[in-house]
Amino acid sequence: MPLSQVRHQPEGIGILRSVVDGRWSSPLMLVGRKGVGKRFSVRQAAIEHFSQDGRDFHEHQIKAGVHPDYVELGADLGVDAVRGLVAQTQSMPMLASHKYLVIDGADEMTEAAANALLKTLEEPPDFCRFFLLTDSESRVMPTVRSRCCRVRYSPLPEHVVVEGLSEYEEDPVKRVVYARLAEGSVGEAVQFWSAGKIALRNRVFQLMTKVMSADLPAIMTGVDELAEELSLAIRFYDHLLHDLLVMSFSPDRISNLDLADELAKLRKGLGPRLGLLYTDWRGMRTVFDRPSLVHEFHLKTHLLTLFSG
Amino acid sequence: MNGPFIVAYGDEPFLLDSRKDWARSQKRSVTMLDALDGLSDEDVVSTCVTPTLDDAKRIVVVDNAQKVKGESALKEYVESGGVSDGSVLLLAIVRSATLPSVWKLAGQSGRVHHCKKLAPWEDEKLVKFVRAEAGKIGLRMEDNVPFLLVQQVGPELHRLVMEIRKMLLLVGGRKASKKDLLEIVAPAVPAEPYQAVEAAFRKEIKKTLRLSALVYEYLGEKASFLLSNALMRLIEKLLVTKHLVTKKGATVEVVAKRLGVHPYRCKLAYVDVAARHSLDDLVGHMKTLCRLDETVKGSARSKRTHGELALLSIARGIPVCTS
Repeated sequence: MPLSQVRHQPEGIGILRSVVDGRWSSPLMLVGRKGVGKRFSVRQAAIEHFSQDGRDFHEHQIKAGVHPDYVELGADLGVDAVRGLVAQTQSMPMLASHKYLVIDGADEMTEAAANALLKTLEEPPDFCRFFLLTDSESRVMPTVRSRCCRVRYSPLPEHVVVEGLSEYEEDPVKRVVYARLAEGSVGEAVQFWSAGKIALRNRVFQLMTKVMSADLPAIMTGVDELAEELSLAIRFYDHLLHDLLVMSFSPDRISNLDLADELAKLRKGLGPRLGLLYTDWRGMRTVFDRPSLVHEFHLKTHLLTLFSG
Repeated sequence: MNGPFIVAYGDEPFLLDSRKDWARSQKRSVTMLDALDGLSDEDVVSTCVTPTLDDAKRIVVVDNAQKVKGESALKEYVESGGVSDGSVLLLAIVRSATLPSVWKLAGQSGRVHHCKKLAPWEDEKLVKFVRAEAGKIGLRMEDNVPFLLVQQVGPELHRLVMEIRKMLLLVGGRKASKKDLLEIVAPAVPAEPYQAVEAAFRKEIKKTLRLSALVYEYLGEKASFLLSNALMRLIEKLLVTKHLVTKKGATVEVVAKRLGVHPYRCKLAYVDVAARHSLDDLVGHMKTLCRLDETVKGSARSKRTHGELALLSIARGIPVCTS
């Protein structure tokens, strides 16, 4: 059963099984971090659903992205693309009993695109199943949200992410590092591995060590150089700070296992100032959720707290 | 070197325009062309070589000459030395800092005037210019007035000349004094956010208050965002300056290079100002500015008060909570 290949998402599996069995037809909004299996589970549900007619080509066509009754929108979520998707609801399925219409990144739809979808979402034809995928429910337009049933996808356990990385990364320690930095998302862990994001993590760590050497201009420049990937850099900084805090009493729990020695040295150098740093950081977490603020300046100020302390 | 070509180029519009005035003042008929109208090099050459009905001596002025399309015909005309009897003078006004090759060639066989914009710190040259312009229209000024005029108006030559003319109308035949100057000179805009911010870091409280009031009057509520951004930009530079000067003993030139500004500006706006604050004070102010950033971009009421409070806390040297 294809749907049983989806692991550790009981809520998602349960409701998708209802869709496959014909007990659920309303639009669904699958909410969860990127790379935890939202799109995969919808594809598996489609394969299982379509294959009920006993023909085995559905699976190949869906996996190849050429099945006429399985439509995914993702890269382009403009009004024209969404209108094209809506047009799909005006014709009967060609090969299967139903049509699966998937919008991956529902929070990235423009306002016009979302409005174009509203009426169809309200009363979709009997043969259509709508799936809206998002990692940030609050950013989806309220009018769209209210027309969908929410299904939560939780982060995957660490061993699942590590297992997912096994075909890419040979070093078992690095596999764990990527898994912990990706916070339960296989997709993100693989992306970190393929895009070499560990280098960014190393730059963030270098920045922390610069604070110890009291090189103020280097701190300013260092933060400015991170500007393009600041949100990810901030996440890595959060992990590093967490590691510094927990490494003395629970060294196995640290995310950056490959930097354990360097972190120990940094922790020793920081001494009691680590508490000050962590307290300051905790107070700043809400700042980074507000896109309008000047995040670089806030990060610099935070690092200077340690410097002046 | 005495061909019938004059080329004026540069980024100072007043000096470039004055070349056109010069052309009009000559005892020749003047034909004005503007390359912004889609002029080609053949049009220019055609205008030059086509005689007028009265066969008079002419000046052909080509404004925005850097935008003339094509150059082969023009190049040929320049290389041939222009109209053989020298009755046509070609004046090219090139509004850019560099000369296109064809006009460079024309300049080599004629005359070139470089009309460079004066920098704000070139006080002496600006004062000399004011005196010369005042002399041309018969305005007499007290000794310190030209310098004060430059201080008030800045390095824009067009505006300086207009102010001189206004002053002549005000004073008539008598000598213009400082009082007259203050009556006629109005700031270009009431105040810019960076001026209020610089005054705050210079710890000039009254000036800070006056300028911030003007900024809010002129820009309204959005002044809070601009002030907040200007404060953040400046404090970062001051911190780097303070660190380089006190911890590394860097000279003004080194700091200027690091910040990418002119040494004169660096000394005035950063080194001297950073000396008035301790490193800990500046770090404290950064925290104040973080809170200000959150406040002005949040739902807080009276963002103006928060902005002014942040400015004053810096001017007083006391980091305070703005939210």
